[in-house]
Amino acid sequence: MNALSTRNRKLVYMGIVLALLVPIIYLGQPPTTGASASGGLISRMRFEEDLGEASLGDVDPASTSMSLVLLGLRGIAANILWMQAEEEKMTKQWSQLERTVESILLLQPHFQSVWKFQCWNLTYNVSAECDAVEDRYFWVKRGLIFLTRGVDRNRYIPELPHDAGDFSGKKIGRADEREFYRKFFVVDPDRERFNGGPDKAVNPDGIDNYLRAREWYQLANDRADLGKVQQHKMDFPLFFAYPYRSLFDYATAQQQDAVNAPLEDIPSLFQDAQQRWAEAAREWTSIYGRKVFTVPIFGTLQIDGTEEELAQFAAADNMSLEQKLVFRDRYQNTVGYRFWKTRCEVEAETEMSDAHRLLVEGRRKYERDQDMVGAEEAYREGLLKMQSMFQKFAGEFGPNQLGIDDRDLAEEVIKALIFYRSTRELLGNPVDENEDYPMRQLWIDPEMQSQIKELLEKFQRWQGGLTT
Amino acid sequence: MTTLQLPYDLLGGVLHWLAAVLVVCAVGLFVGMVVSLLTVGPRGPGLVVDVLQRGLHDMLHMSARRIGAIASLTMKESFRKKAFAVLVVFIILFLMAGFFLRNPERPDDLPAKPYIAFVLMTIRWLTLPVALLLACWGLPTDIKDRSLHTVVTKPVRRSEIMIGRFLGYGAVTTIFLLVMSLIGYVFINRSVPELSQPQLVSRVPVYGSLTYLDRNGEPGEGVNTGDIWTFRSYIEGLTKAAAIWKFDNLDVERLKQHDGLRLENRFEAFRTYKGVIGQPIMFRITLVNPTKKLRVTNGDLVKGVAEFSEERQRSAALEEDPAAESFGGLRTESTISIPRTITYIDVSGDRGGDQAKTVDLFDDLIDGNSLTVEVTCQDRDQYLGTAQSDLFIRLPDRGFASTYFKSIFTMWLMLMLICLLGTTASCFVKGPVATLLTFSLFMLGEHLRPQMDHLLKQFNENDRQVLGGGVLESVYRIVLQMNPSQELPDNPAMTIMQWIDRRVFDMLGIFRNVIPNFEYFNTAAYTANGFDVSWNTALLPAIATALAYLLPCVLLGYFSLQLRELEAK
Repeated sequence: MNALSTRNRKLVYMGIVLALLVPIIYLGQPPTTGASASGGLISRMRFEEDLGEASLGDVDPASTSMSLVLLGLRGIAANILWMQAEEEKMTKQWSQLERTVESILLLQPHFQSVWKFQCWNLTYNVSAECDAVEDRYFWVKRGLIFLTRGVDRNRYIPELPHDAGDFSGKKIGRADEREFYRKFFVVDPDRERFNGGPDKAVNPDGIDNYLRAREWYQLANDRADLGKVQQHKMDFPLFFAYPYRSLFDYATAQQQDAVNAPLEDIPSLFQDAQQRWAEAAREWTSIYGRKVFTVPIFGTLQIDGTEEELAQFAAADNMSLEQKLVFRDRYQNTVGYRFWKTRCEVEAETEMSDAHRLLVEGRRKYERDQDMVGAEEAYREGLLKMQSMFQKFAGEFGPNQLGIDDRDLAEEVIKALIFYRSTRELLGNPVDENEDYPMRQLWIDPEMQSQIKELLEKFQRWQGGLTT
Repeated sequence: MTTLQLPYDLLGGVLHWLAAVLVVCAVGLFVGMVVSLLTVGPRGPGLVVDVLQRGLHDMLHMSARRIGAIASLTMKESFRKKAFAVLVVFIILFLMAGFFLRNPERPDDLPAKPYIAFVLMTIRWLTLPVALLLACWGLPTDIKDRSLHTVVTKPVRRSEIMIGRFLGYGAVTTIFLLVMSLIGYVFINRSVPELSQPQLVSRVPVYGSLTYLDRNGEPGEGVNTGDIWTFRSYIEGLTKAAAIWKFDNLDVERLKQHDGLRLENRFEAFRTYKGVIGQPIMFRITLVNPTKKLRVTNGDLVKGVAEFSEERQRSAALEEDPAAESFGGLRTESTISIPRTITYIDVSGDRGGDQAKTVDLFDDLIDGNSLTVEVTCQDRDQYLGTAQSDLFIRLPDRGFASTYFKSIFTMWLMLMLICLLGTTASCFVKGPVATLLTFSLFMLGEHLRPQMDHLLKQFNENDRQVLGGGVLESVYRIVLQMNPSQELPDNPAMTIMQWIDRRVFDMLGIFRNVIPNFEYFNTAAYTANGFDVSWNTALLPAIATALAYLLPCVLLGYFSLQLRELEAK
């Protein structure tokens, strides 16, 4: 039997509770500010070992409390929600799907696949289901906004900002709807809500989608450099190349946009593109080419490392210089280092920029203005400048080296030649095959014949000459 | 709406119910006779008849006053048990609604649908356990605490105890539901962003029946374009393929008051090539009067597909801003207004001269009281996805409260049924078992019923075979890693196994008739999508289902309580 009275027993309990409070406060006191080395012992250790929620990224109190409320049933709840999300996707209830995804996130905020998978779902799968292009863009944007939150919530994961870069760059810039998407990225279709500007949630500074992608890729690289969480998306030299490649994409897009741009904007577009190519050339060679990578098996490398530098790496890694040189060349091929280096140099030339501009002007005169004399003149001048550039950068495959290396450039020149020949024909002065017209060497190059045939058919179909 | 709108067959339902009740009664009587013979001997059947007579007497002489007294006691008991604490949980959940309905970057971006779905789901899942636990634990606790002894010694019939209990729990649950639904209603009206407020409506649709013409103009089916969800069938553009809706039993006089007709569509587009990206896939509406051989269409009846317009928030400017044309091309809308007088070019007769004609929608195109609408796709090699509920006549809208409280009403019916089933179960088993039994019935009737129906349909239509087999065959196949299409070995063991599996399916077929279809009580999809909860397809089946269980449950509960040994704990 207990000798103590009820009252005394309660007092003893109270005393024990108070005594236990002391170590609890000492151990468990929460930090005074976010992720800092303040608070109790556990809080301090959590900070030092990077184990706390706050050390992973922005904290969502709802998420944390939801996980606590569910006790051990978090996994089951997450599974049910994933199935529900799939069901809602199948039955095309997009707004409900978005809500379910939000609930999944409450439970799995640091599981990067949730962010990637569901962002992909919204950006690619849901948007493709809509017929109106504004609706498609709306869902592309929803996916991107969603991933942006994932980036903030997981501050060490490099793959998430890299994916955000892919979505901003490739989804917006390379989809069938790219002409619309690229405009919408800068001027949102919902003009009333966004005052004729961009939706700042995806494009805070109102810049081009490729430049925004470049920012994301750069963030991904910074996180990868930190090394707290490894990226498993691709080989490091490829992963690190993306910010620079975005600049290539941007400059290329500027040149392509000129075809439909107002006439007065064309010179500035080409000027900007030329500057970007020059900037890209500098960054590609002096930053990316000089970056020191440590990759599995091949050890430490520089994509554009000199023999002396590679010799030092070889000595440190206990390898021969020859091995390092082979590995360096292999990586140069993998990332297309030499190709892009040359391309940047070529595109940064004023003569090349002028050549592109003249070809665009020729096309506009042919298509829009029906000014065949002007078109012929612009094409001839443009092709002459192009020829001069091809000769300047002639390589082991002769004067067509640039076209052989860069099929997009070859296509541009072949298209220009087709239009040029057509204008000559329309002006009653058809091209004589023996005549020395500009860029003839590409037209007769056996390597180009299949591409020429294909583009000719396309041109004839466009003209209404072919019914197939 | 993404469900087929089939009117409920009340007569068929009643006949089915009668058959099920008679069979269950006959089986019950037979089992009772056999058990009484085995336990009491030759006197047994006589005792069964006595019990039945007494039961009939008790049923016919129930007192409303006593039932009322027991119901009011039940309510008081529920108050004492602090059952109303669940309301606190409800309010806390609403305070935290932002956790589930948040959109951090764009608080005004959400459509109304998630708000409505959240409120109705929360109410459903909070009231359900209340009804379940109250109804299943009341009587067993009384028996355990022996408080029922005091009651049964009074001049109270056991049928009155059962019904009184059920009504008491029903009343408590009703109070819960009323409070929650009112709070929910205010919450929806206050929380739905301003831009989404127009979505708080109750559209009143009139659905038609749908048939198809194939690409050669022959009656047939639509095309499957590879969508996993087979809800919609697709018609090919610029062929003779058409989707034809026939709206019967129209109230023409009522329609005439509005001087026109409003059609609403939910069509989907499927592109086989990208086409002109900024322009929607177009469809044409032709109004047909087969009796007068009239086919009327004009440029105003060619529209662009407005897919998923209810799935995202659009600002009015995006819908109407002419400046947006430069980006988006043609505007689309899901509502199509058809004026009373329609001018069209008649191409049926001889060509030449003025072919423009004018017809009156109600006098010329509506045939008696039925209207035929033919829809074709206007883009070559593109497809238009259609389902029965994808085109309907939209009558004047009602207020959101109408659809909301109708949904609450069907939820109330569901809770009453849960109370009824729980009270009945608690008459013959203890609290935990009664809870499990009632909850299992709910889960079977609500979530597993589609799967059960699918299996039985396959079983009945496919020569008593189900893909992958029944329970035993499935286990056998899983263990031996055989896929469902592999032939089983031909031996007696397999024959026995399949025989047992078929008997299990037969049993399932029988039990399916007594498991309530709880799907009828979930009308949240109507309300969330801004539709009226229609009488024919939603309210009537819910009411009929709830009423169907009333008499059998009361009888079962009464006889169970009558025969139960109350001393047993």
